[in-house]
Amino acid sequence: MSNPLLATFIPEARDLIQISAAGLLKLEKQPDNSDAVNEVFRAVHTLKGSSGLFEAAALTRLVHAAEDLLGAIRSESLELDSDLVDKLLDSLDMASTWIDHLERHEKMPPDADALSSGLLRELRRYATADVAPASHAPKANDAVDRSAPDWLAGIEEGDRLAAFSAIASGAKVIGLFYRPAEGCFFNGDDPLNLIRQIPELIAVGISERAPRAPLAEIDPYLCNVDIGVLSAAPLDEIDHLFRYMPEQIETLTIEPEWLVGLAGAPGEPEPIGDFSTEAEHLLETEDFDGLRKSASRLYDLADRTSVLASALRWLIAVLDQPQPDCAILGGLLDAAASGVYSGPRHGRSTRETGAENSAPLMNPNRLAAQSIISAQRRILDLPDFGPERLASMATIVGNLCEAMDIPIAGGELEGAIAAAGRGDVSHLRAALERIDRHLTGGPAAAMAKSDAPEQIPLAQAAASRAAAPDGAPEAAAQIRTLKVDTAKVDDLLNLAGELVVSKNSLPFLAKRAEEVYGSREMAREIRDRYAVIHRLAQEIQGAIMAVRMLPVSEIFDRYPRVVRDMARKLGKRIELTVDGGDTAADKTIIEAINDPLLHVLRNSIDHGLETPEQRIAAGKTPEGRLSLRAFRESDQVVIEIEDNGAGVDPVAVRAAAINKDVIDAESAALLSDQETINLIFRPGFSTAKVVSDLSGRGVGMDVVRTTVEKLGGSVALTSRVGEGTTIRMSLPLSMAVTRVMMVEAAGALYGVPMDVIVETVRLPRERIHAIKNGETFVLRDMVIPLARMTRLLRLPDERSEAADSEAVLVCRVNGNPVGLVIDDFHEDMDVILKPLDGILTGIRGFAGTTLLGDGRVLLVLNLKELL
Amino acid sequence: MSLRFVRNTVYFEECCVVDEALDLAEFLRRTKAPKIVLSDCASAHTALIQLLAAAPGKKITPPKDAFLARFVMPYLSECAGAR
Repeated sequence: MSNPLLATFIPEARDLIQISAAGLLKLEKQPDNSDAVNEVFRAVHTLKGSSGLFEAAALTRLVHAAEDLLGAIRSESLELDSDLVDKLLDSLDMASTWIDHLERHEKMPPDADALSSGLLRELRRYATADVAPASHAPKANDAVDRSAPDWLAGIEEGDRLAAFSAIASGAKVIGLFYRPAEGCFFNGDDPLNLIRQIPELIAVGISERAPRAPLAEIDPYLCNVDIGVLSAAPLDEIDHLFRYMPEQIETLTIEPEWLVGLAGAPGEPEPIGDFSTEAEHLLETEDFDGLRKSASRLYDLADRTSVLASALRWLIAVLDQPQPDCAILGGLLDAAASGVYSGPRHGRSTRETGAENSAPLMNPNRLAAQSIISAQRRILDLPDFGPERLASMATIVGNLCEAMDIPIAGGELEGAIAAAGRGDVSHLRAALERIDRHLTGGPAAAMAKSDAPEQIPLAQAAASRAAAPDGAPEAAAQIRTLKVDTAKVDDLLNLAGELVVSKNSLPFLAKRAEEVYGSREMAREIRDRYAVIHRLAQEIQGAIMAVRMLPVSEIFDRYPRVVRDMARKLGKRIELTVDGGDTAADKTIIEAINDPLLHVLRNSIDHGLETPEQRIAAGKTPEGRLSLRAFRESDQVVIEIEDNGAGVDPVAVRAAAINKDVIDAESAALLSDQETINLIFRPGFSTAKVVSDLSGRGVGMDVVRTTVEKLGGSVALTSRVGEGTTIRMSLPLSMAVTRVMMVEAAGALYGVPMDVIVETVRLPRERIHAIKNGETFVLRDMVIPLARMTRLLRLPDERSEAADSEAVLVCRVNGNPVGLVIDDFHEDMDVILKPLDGILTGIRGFAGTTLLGDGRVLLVLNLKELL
Repeated sequence: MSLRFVRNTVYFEECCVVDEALDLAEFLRRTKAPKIVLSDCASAHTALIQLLAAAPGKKITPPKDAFLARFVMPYLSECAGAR
């Protein structure tokens, strides 16, 4: 792979997908498990982040949508049900397919976009059904009718007026609140630049998220701004612009009355008695023209910065609408008189009761309080202010907090004022900022830690980031595992194999030293060295084998998903228990066992376990039990799959076997029940009445048996009708090193795997009997058929009749003893078996090849195929 | 470099990117009353704007760029007051 980053990403992505899938299954069972939610969310989030580095937009989009849903699940605004789990798992499957494609081709498949949008639509259905209202709706507790978002208060009056008239002229104004992630600069985001790209901007309000730190302590690379935007652009365009960060924005359609709000310094209401009376009259008679003229006249006289002027500006703006809203006009007339806008007139009583929850714009007191606080902050910025100013500030702020019910720690304000008197205004400034934030609806928690210094020094902040819950930096310090490409381990193993083989040449050398050069001394020394190298080579090999050992959980972890999906499809209830996941076996074994195991599991679920109704009728619990166990037994790994289903019925098996010509009726009648059950391992056998999509795809149990036997293992099935079935697979721990015995036939050497050899005998010729065409001999009261190696391998039979005895290798093949007539026995040895590959792959009868110490190639036989 | 520092003045020219945030922070920290010339600034990264907003006692020559002038300047001038 040319892109090293991608090479790192692929295994990581697979892990993350696995973690997410496992977590989802856990969550389905325990929806309240917040650890699982967090785990899945983090995994998907990381996957999304990393995938963004590559040309894999479809993948990123899909994972992103999944992340959004998980976010909603985490915040409990969306409930996780089985259908949603299905959808999320489907998305993960898709992602996994793409990862495979990425690995092979380093790019996404051409149909990825289409597939992704299909899945996205399905995921979005959940999002729009449940999430959208939750995140887009106002935060009011009684969110029956929508209310203005808090950030609107930060938009300048002129801009709000512009938006208001835009709505009046028929435009749809979208409000967007963009809260960029703190580290967004590192992702290449430039929030303001993004805002710049929004078409038809009406207003932009930039505000600071955390109170601004002194310049010396600011981290220039942390984003600390929130941005509120009003725009007349279509929502689609805005969504498209922010498609990579939908979680950072909130959009909503702005209602015109939300925009109304007064600006200007609140002060004594100006005497406008005449205007009030006249205006009320004009409003009652709905003489909008007259009202407009009257308001304009007064506005010409008013101080433009006053609240009155602001109220009049709004009055005029509302009157400019084709259908002025009398309720707002009434509210504005009240505002002109009192200096405080309390919302539209008719709805005032309801507005006031809901004051705490509604937006500040709707709450005149809050708005006024805000402007008071900002005035105090401006005063603090003045070059010098005397103690009397401080004293009045203390009174104003104190009263304000009391009036607005702002919890401020006792003594904090006094302390800050006192400090300010000594010339240190930072505490006071911080306190004011906090109150301001409280007023603008910032985190209420800000008030709680009022005694702590507000501005966390940079170093401390960095430290707290380091100790963040995901603990990444901590983990970095204790990395104890190393991710290595398996190909590298395989290379290492091959090299160790070469070492073993070349080490084997030393005894030959010793022999030559002795026989050819006549130096017995030298020969002994070589043998001594050989002993050392031999030991080291064994250890190296052992160590590498240990690296290749994988826990069976590698494959077991996939099954809960399979079982769940199948059970859902078949309408069965199944409880899967998995034990011994940490039992380790060689990677080759683990990988090769997956398919047979899956097949057996599918059989158990499809044919073994019954539906809840059938189970209840049979007097069992409605929930079927399926257990998957792995354990070590001497040098074998045993995997057992046990179900408490219907079991295998020998009668049915016998009938089916006869039906399918697997066996004839007479032989079948002779078989015991267990032997009958074993018939299912014969090729061409399948008892399922219907070939379902889940199992019985023509690959029967015979394939399971062949695969397992190819790995050097065995399968056994025991079953009791009505009680259940147990399938037991025994497999070697490792298949890298095979012990073979060398035998000679027609002048060439062949290897026979030790595990099939029972014993070696030298057989006098007269003990060989011919029965029909075959030869047999009797060994300890047992008739054993004989096979001649030269005939099996079609070698020239050079042996004359002269020899009076035959060398016979007694082997057990498929459970039956057989005698193999060979020319001679040689020593046994450990070899690394290399499978035949390339054009040799199809040659039957050979398990593989290995190199001998003197450089010759040894063919190792596969007797099961030969006989 | 699209930021040019001349004694107590920083000139923003063309597109000013995030890479210069550290230099700008350094400049603003050591300069008492910085002058900030935005006239020829076509765009400025949020990181830079954030820093400018935090700088006390600054004097800003307003930008010609419509977006900056219309939407960013109010934010900067709101925070223009001396400490």
